[in-house]
Amino acid sequence: MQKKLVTGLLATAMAVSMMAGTVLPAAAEETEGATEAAAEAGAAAGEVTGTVYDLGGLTLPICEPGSVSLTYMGNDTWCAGVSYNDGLPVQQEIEKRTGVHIEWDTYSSDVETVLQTRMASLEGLPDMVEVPPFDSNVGVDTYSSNGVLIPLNDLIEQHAPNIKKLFEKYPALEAMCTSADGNIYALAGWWGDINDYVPDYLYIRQDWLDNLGLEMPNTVDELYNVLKAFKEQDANGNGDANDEIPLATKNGLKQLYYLMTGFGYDTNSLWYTDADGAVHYAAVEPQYKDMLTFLNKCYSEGLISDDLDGTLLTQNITEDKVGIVCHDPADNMASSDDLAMTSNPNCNYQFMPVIQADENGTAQMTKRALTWHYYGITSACENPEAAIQWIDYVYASEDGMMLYNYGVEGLSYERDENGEITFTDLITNNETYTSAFSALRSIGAWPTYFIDDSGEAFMKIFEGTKVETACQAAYGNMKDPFPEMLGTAEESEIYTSMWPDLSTYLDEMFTAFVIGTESLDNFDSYVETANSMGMEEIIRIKGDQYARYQEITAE
Amino acid sequence: MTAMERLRKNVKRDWMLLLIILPGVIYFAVFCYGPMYGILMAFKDYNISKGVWGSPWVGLKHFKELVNSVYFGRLVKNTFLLSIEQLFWSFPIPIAFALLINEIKRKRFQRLAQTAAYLPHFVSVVVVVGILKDLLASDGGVLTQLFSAFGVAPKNYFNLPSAFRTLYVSSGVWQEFGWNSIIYVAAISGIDQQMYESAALDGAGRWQRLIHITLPSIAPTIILLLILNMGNMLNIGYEKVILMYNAATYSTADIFSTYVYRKGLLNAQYSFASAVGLANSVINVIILLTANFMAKKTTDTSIF
Repeated sequence: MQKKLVTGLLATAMAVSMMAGTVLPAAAEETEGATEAAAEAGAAAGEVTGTVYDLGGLTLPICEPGSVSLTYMGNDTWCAGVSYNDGLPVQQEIEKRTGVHIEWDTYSSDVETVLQTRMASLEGLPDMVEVPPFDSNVGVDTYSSNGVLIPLNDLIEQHAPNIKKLFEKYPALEAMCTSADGNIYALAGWWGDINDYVPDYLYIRQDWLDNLGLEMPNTVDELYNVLKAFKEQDANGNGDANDEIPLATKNGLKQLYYLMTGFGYDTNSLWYTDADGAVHYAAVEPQYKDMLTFLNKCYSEGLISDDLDGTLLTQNITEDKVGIVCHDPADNMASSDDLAMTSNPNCNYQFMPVIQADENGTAQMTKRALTWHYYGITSACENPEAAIQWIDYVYASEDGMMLYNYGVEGLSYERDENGEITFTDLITNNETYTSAFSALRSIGAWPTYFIDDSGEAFMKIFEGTKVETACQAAYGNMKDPFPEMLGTAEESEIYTSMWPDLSTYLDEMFTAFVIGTESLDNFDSYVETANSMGMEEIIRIKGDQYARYQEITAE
Repeated sequence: MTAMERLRKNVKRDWMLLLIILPGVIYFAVFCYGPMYGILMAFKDYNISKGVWGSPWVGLKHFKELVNSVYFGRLVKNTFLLSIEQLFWSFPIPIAFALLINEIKRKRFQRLAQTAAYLPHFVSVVVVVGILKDLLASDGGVLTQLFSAFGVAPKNYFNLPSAFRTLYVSSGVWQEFGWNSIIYVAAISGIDQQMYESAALDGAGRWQRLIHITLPSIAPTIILLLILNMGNMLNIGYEKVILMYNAATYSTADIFSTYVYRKGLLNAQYSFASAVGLANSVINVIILLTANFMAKKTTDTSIF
């Protein structure tokens, strides 16, 4: 019997290795293909070697070309199958101009786990790093207090004139990069500029409204009537009156809090400040119950998708089933159109106005977050001066911004004698990447490291589309988001020990109230429980952080 | 003969066997025994720059935090119930399948059936959950339509706390029963055919041969695997649960590993995560020893 047991195990092991054998070559082929494509694109890029630039005090090249090599570790491009490791045109151009060679230690999946392990063991630290964990900013405190991230203040002061200028232009950015001890240990990916333009709210099937002879909804009551009509009638006109899903969310039911604008809040943000500057968390306030009551009514009547975590959304949009998508930025409207057009060529998603309590409502939507992840220099970096200068170039200089947002001149865009920019066919007519955005990403533009996205360039990409219209309508009509400040050691400790349990509870109760497994009569006891789990303390911490934000931005 | 001489003689005789086992020994030394000093982290406030040895001791602070969590009771209950239900279904089904496969007399069909049964093992769990969600979609899912033909009102089973364990376990059984049966099929094929022949001469039918020859012959394998499985009982990975649960089903779906994922990993609380991991391992060892002891008492088969 023993022998047979071994035989069985061997058979198992062999089967596993066989599978591995069949899978690996395919993966290798893919990478090869990508490398070739990138190399071709790279050859087309112009030759600029040897030019000396002077950018607001930063002199290029930073060093004798090829004499400095730095490693960067973090996310890979957001373009499937394309990696910075392949030497993409934009990164090649940056290397040519700065003289600094970058070793890209980047991953397209599970990068957080790899990073956490590497940072926790202090082995093989890169020179520059995207600070984990990505979902919260506690990593900046964790890794600076134990010395992995080095302070950047003096480096910026002496070597980074463009970052200094960027801070002057955006005091909020400086505030969010500044730790509670007054030092800067990491630079936040900056979305403040692009998010002045790009709204994130709801979009609706205009063609369904037209089919049913309805107006664009502006108030809660109108919204309810539209949802009801979508549900009961054959809005998509395919002969089946029951296949419409009136309202669905992108990443889970809890995102329906966006409708709070119709229930006594003047914006759609759970964290908000009142006129006196006091910090509030909407989900534990009395008005919130009104919204939950409304959502519960809608859900019980089948007006809200029961796909609670949003996994089937893409599929449902493609099948011409979804009337309103909640919580998605304007540019995704275009991709949703593309999806639905495969089954209904008339599909026309339009961005929705902010839902108001009544005709006199003045609620506005909130801009998306100002920052996205943090990036720092580690204690393993032997040449932090070169690193900060390189960052200064890519993250803050005008020249670097052109490469970030438009790619390489001659390859992805042309400039006429008036300085007017037009994208080339590679971007607008790309065979592989139908969206200009993806095409730009495939050559290394719109990167995932030291992010500083430009709203102007975004508008250029979507010129003449309804995305541009939606952005223009939103521009100047959105509220600033609640600033996510870096916490003190004590704040981080309280936050990390309380918030995970508390947020689980809040999510769970929101869902239970909406889908009806918990009676709304229990709203008061829900608020009490949340407070007993530390809600008030978290609000106090956020209040302190907001006060610090005010202080820094007022300077 | 001295001990040294005997050792040398044995090594000389069995060097090939020793060579075969060497990779396994290295694997366990490097990946299982080597990192064990990391357990210390569970009793310290781990600070990266100070390292495991230099970090300050905090005693049972992290264990207290775990036990004091409002969700502790629920996590214990969910983890145990899911483990038990999983073992209850996923253990006997491969055995039954192996016995059935063995009774198929047409070799080609037998191989085909076996291959078809273990193919799902190679499907990524993300895909399996995706298929499941599609089958059970409240509008138009194949299973939903089937149920409604029998008068069951369509509903989204992924939002029902009471359905979570059934979905988790049944999809797991579907994916793994063929694969897990391989070892039993191998054990069955090692049974001496003469026993079957003489039993047939004595007039034993197929059923009797199954009960009196096949089952007793593979009983040691079954018991060994049962003990090993029980030792792994609480090691339910978070991947599949995270793919399957949502805020409506936390009440039955949230288990230790998902909790650690949310609290320990996403918030870089290494010490807390180690503490939960250690607690989990200790319980596993206790279950393993108990199962082994019981097996030894009742059947004379045990792993040590």
